This record gives sequence, structure tokens and C-alpha cells, in this order.
Amino acid sequence: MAIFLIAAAPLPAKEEARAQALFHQLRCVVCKGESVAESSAEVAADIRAMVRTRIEAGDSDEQITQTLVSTYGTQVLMRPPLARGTLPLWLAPLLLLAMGGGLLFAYFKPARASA
Amino acid sequence: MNMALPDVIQIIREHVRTIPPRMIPLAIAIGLGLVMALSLLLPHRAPPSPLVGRILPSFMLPRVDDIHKSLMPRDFYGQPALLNVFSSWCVPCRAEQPLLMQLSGKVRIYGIAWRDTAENVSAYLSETGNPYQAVALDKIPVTTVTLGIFGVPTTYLVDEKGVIRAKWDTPLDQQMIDKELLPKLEEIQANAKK
Repeated sequence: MAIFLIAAAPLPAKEEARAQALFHQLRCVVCKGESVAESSAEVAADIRAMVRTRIEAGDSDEQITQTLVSTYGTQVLMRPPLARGTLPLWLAPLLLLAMGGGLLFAYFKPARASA
Repeated sequence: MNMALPDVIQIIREHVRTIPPRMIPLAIAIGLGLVMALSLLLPHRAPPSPLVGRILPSFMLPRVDDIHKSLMPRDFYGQPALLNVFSSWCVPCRAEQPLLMQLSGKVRIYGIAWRDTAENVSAYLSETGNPYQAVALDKIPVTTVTLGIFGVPTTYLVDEKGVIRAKWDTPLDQQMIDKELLPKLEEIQANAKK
């Protein structure tokens, strides 16, 4: 319990930098859109404390995010994972961009004067 | 309207053909706008919790009624149970209490008081009534991440082996109880008898 309380406070410089980096990769699960770094929600504070505790305990970034995903699902990641289910999510913006580009091209293509 | 899919596609094709080419970007924009509006307006189903189907993660917390005693998941194995995470300062939790009082006749309910103090919890329970077999106090709290808590109240339906069969991240209402909780509970009880 004492370890948990200590980890609620910032860690030594290098570990704290790692913690802050992770905070920006994790989504505040109750205030969609904000990362755990910015959020004032209690759950976000608990996630930050958990990250710090795990860093102190020697866990890797991968292990820490995996634990969070195992209880909150992939919604806890700011970047949705690249998986079959999320392929439309990743590809849609690119497709829309390509469509828009295609339309612009067709619109502005100089009319070919027939010789 | 009983139409085969090929007929529907044909009709859509004919309508799309009548759009003059220069209107196509506008048509696409309107189409996209409709899709986005629909996705915002239609009820949003949250993705199922990854904890469903797994054993309730372990915890050991002091009990509110006796801090020298502790509560852990193993204490309620053997029969189905509800684990309700609540706080005395949480308004929707208070609103949920009458429903929990009713449910306590059908299934054993255990509580975790989250981010709370023993005094406040005792006062709260004497006001609202106590549907719980036992309440654990998670003052710090330590269970937030391990139990996948988004906020309070959160309720878990646990079977006799300790496997989480359902998780509600929102306050319970009568509809959820009738449509989701009670059927699932009956299913578990029927299977437990086999």
C-alpha cells in the first residue's frame, strides 16, 4: 500500500519521462478524446498511478499497456491497433482523400482540344 | 416491402445514374453527412468488456463492518453473486439502490465502496438500506485498473466458479435487470444445478 502511495507522485526524471510518454498514449476512458495525461477524471488519476507503480516495478511499456488493454479493451489506447476489425477505421480517411483527389483531378483536368 | 436485394440494387443504380456528374461531389458529401449523423444519433453500443468470460480479478480489502476482516472474491464462490462497485458520494449509485434492494432477494450482492471512507459508507447504507452481504472498503482505490472500472456504479455478475458472466459500466435500470441480468442469472443457476 505504501508503494502505491509513493507511485502516485512523480518518479525520478528518466522514469517520469517514460511515464509521461505513456500517459499521452493512453486514452482517458471516461472522457473520450482526452489522454490520461490531460484528464482530471479520477479513473485517469488511477491509471497514471498504476503506470508509475509498474514502471517502478520494472515492467516494460508493452506489459503496462497490455494490462490496461486486458481490462479496458483497446479503447484505452489513443491509437487504435492495426487489426482486421480496425482496418476500415485506418483506411477510410485515406480512401476519402484519394476519392477527393480523384474528383479534383477529374474536375481540373485540362480539356483536351481535339486536334 | 418484400423486395429481393438485386431489385433494390437495380433501383439504387437507376437513381444514381440520374445524378448529373457535377453534382457527384455534393451527393457524396450529403451521403457522408447522413452516415456520420446517423452514427452519432443512433444508440451507441459499447464494446463488450474483455473481462467477461474471465475469472474475477483478485482483491483483498478490509470490510466496512469490521476492518479486521477482509473480503476477497473466493469468499463468494459457490453460488452466483453480484459485485457492485459504488461510492457514497455517487448520485447514480444512490438511484440504483432500490433496485439492488429488490435484487438482494434473488441473488447475493457484495459491494466495494470505491474511493470512500468507512464512516461515509455506513451513513449512506443506513439511509438507503443495505442490500449487501458484505461491503469491502477500497479507500485508495486499488481496484480501478484491475477490475476495469470506468466509474461508479459498476456491477459484475459472477457465477459460482468466480467467472464474470456480465459487466455493467452504467447504473442498473429495470430494463437492464429484466432483459439482461435476470435471464443471465437464471441461466447460471440452471447450469450450476447440472
